[in-house]
Amino acid sequence: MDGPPALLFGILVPALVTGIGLLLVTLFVTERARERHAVGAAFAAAGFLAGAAGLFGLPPLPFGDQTLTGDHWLQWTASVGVLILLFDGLRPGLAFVPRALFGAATILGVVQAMLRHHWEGPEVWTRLATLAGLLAVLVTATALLGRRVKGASVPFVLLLAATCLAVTIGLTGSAKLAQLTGIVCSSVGAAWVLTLLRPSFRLGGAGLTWAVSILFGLGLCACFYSELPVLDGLLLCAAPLAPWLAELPPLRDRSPRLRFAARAILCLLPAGFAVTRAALAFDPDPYGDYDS
Amino acid sequence: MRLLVSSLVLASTLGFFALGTSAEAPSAPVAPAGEWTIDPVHSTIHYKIKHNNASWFYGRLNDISGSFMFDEADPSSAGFAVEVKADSVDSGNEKLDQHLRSPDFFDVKQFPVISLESTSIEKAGKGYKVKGKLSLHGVTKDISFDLEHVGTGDSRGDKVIGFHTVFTIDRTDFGMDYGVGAIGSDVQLIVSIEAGQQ
Repeated sequence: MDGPPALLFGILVPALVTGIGLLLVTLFVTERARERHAVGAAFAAAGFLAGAAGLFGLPPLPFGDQTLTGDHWLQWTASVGVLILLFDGLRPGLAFVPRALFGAATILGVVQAMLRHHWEGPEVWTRLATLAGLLAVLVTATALLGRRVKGASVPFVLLLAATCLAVTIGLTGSAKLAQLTGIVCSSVGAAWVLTLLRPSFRLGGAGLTWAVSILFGLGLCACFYSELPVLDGLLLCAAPLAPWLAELPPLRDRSPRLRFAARAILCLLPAGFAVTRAALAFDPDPYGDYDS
Repeated sequence: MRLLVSSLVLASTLGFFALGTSAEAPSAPVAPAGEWTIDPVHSTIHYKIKHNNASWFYGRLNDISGSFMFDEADPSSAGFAVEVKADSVDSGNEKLDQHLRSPDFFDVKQFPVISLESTSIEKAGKGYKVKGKLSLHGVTKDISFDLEHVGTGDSRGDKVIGFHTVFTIDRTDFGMDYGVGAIGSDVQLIVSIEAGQQ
């Protein structure tokens, strides 16, 4: 799907579902209850499901006649798997349990085809442990930053990183994965706008875990099954981590506005480098003098 | 002398009838029953698909392997399993091949093998009616097609046999729905198989 329908389902529908849902919740539900029931994750997932189903239809059912692709698994994890994250706020000290389970579901879904056709022997465990470690660092760092930095800064950083990921994936070869990433951008973007309108709103640990995990899964799909170079993937992983540098001296002591800008620039440095590399390698006329 | 003449007449008569018989029924050599292995060099799969609603585009799948049982006298006992490596898709343009191998089309890293396995083979006219299961892009569908036995021959002392078929699938039935509209959804497959006896 392309043109106006793609804009409708890829951008407007997820933004409206996530944005309106979260706005209503902030109007009628207390902040504590919102954190406790992981509403940020729930509405981001609802927006993603609406956008992805509108663009591509519902993915095939797991364990049916059709072998699911990595992005099919990711769509199920993003929409149904979010139920795991609803336990995130029930016992704050045990939040790592649902986050780890959600991360594991994300990775195991994406790598199904690698396990079936490409990886074998002891290296399987090394690769899985590396991916789990990387995702754990990303989720923990983003959730901690989200708790430390109030306001629009962290959703904005995540939006920048997600947008750069979508552009890089699009430039390196898969329209479908780029569109799915664009849907996540749209949901995160709606949450960011809401933080501007209602400063008391926070995406919360569960919401940030959902967004980071799904973006990580989309990046893995692009690396394993499309043509996203590993270096670009690593640069994009560094993007949500880099804003932590703004929490160190001398930036730590600067004004909130300057630190907001610093976080955005720090995020854009690695992510922008990945986009630039992809843009330079992109061939706008891939089939020579003829189009597809 | 009479004996010699009689022998010559008899030999000529037998020779005449032998020639006559051969001229009246020039049937192809009967394929010996048994197991056959596909010759990947002399077997081809071409696909044909409409492009921009304007032309027919032809491409190939190059890496074919498999084997089959065939007994001309008892076709119902026949069966085959053919595998094609999806990354052997060959359009004649490397950049287009890269796109065809991507998740937008064949998604070869997730679905590296295309397979076709027969479930029943029946004699139908001069050829055969085949029912089977085609697995492509993670989806397995029942299909049926007419199969022509092209001939049986010899190659360096070994028996070889050939089959040919043309059938059409809808690629969207197999979850390959990228670019439908500009690129047709019906794909005609033109399959020609040569196999040697094991």
